[in-house]
Amino acid sequence: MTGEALLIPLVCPRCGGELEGGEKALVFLCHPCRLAVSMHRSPRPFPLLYATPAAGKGSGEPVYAPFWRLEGKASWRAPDEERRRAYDRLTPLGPLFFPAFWSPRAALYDNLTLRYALAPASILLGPGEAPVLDGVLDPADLPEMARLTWLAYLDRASDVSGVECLFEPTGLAYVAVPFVREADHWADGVLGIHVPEGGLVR
Amino acid sequence: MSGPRALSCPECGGTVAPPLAARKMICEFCGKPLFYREAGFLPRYLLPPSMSEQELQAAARTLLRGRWLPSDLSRRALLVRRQRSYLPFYLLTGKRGGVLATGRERVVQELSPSLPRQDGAALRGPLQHSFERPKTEVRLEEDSRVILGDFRYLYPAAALSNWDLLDVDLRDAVKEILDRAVPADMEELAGQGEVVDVDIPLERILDIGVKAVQSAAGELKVMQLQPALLYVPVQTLTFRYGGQFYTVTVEEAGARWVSGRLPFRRDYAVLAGLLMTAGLGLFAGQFLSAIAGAVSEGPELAQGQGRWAVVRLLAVVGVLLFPLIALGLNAAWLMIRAPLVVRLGGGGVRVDAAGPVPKSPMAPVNALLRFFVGALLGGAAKELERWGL
Repeated sequence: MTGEALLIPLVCPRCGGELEGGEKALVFLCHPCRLAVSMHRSPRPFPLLYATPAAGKGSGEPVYAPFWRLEGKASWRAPDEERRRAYDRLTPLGPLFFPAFWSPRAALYDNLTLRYALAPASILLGPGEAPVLDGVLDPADLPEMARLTWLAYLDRASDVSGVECLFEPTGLAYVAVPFVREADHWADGVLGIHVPEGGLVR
Repeated sequence: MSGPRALSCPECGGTVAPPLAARKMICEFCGKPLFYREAGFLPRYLLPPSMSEQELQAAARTLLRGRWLPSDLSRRALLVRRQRSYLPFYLLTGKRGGVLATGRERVVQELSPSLPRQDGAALRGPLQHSFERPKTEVRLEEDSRVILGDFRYLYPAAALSNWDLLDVDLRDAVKEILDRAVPADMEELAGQGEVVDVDIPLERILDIGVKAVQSAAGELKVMQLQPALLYVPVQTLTFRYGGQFYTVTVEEAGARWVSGRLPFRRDYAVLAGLLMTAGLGLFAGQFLSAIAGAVSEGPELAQGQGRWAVVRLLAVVGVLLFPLIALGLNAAWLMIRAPLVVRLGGGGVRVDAAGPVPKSPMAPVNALLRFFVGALLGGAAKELERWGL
């Protein structure tokens, strides 16, 4: 690999403007074009959206943490009628939000992804300009993560041995979710979910 | 993990050095922002020191006043050197997932078929069940567990033995405060202390770490792996006391003493040795007095066999008392003269030998003791028996 190939200009593929992002970011933003550009492998642009803070969910200046918002259609094939009925009774999951920021805390996924997916109506999206924490998560693995998320969700209703689950992605966006600082933790500005103090590293 | 030495700016063609800490860099010639996408590049984080200068001094003073240390140590110890070092650790974070076939055991009770009657006819009606025996068996049923979650592992990226640090101790200390990690400015770190070179290849760590993350059956897969370097500040303080040099190391992010060597409080050892010697003397005196009393009042002296009684007394003293006293005096000598130090570690404080013990004046006695023990174990008893003793 030559030296030239290792350096890529950090410019927006649409307007040519300078991309924004911190020193550790792998996903960079162009606010005028509302684009997030993933630099994993080769640069790929995705829509950039902001979650609107819900009224009464925290006060103070929010810090925006990035998530990959994956929409898609899940389907499954269960080996028996009893399980099919059990899965059909489950509340369908909405779009899946996978934390894209680096965090030294494990298990953020458990706290956030499933809870956001169960309350899709609460997450209103729109444009925004605020700075966002550095994003690092490679979107390439998201469909498999979504499939496993669905499978784990089905497993809550009935054992998934022999169950085939497929996930077909239909849309991917980069969403900045507001978090506000409370006493000794962070709380998201959408559902009020608590994240431990070090869960977000600025 | 060796990257290129020089790069060319795709905008202006200027030669730029590869970045040290961050993928994002600015071309020093044209000022354009660039992204460095070298595969082996590791983002670097820092656990910032949490102790102020005053807090460090106070902690050091408290440490030097420890109960196992000489009482004048905090007054007489002279700080001759202090050095901050940033120790590198690999922090592996990511996501793993998969479906684990776990299986599930279930205890099932079933009624066995009706026992046949003597006349060959089956029982009918309410009596039928009274003749059925429940049969219990354990059935293994199919069960799966879906796993999707984050993992986080921490491994030293340099040999910690140079700092007399135990890998596990420091890792445990650091894991508790990982939340405080912030992006590292390598130039700033280099200005504040020694940034320790990474000397353990990431490939080796990945080989260990990824295997740990994946299940033995390979059903769990690592889907995202984000290796990073985490720098942990430690400060090593070197003291001079009693003509000797002692060092202690504090992990500054968690404010915890993680290693060190300090003088042991000798007066405790001397006191213990003297008490042991005095106790042994008292015990020996009592023992001799009791035996002498018993022998002098015994029938042998009355019958004019005093010579044999004295010989037996000496034998008893020699066999029982002499080894005991010798052992006790040796232990006392060790306590009084052995060079002992107090070692600090993640597990706490322990007293340890600092070097070889000076030659004991008990050496001839020890030789005699060894002879006695050898004689006892090696069949000397038979010889003594043959001599009629």
